[in-house]
Amino acid sequence: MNTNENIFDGVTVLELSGRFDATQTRDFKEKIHSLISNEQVYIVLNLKDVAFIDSSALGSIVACLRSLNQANGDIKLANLQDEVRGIFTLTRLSSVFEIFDDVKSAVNSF
Amino acid sequence: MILQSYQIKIPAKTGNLEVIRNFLISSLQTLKFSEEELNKVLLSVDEACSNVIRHAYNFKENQIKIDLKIEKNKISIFVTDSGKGFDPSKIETPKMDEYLKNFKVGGLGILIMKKLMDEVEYDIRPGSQNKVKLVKYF
Repeated sequence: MNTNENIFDGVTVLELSGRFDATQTRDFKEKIHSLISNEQVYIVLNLKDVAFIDSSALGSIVACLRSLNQANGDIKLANLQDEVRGIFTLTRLSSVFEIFDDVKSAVNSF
Repeated sequence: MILQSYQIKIPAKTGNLEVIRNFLISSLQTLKFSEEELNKVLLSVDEACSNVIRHAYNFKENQIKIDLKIEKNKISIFVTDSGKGFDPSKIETPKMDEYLKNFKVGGLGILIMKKLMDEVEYDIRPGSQNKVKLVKYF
């Protein structure tokens, strides 16, 4: 999985691509904790190019949400593909995260 | 009657999840599964294998075996390991209200398998052979 990082209006946008499964969760959590250390606690995950996500990845995003909330931050999701959105709905995690159709809306929601 | 049968046995590590996925895609390509149904199978097997890597073997490298059997109206996938077993009777579908309230991490894999597959069965013999059977009708 590749990760690109950009900052818009003080909000960090992480663009993920590829499979998001147990192989990537450690790197992902380390990335988020690195951002928290840099006081970048407003984060948007752009999942446009993520076609596959499993429970390990979901668990890592939930863990990061908890860490960000403790740092008075938040993480919001944008551009979910249908399959990925379906998994969030299936597990009811769609009620935990704010999910937006595009990055701009997600950034503006902070 | 089993029409086709495929097997892969490889080291149980997260880096091989994609290998397992590609094995299934290749083996199932002649079936009339919709992309949506195929993705349900792929995700469920991924969850079963992740559980083996994490819980049965605790990330210590060992072997995992995946058997795919194709019948006229269904596929059966057996995920077999020789690691630490568990008591299937104590496996509960996560209580999502509690899960969401406490931001609990873990346990979602079983929920996903049960929701996406038509049948999920366990045959657990700790230290000898543990097997998860996943069935999808078509």
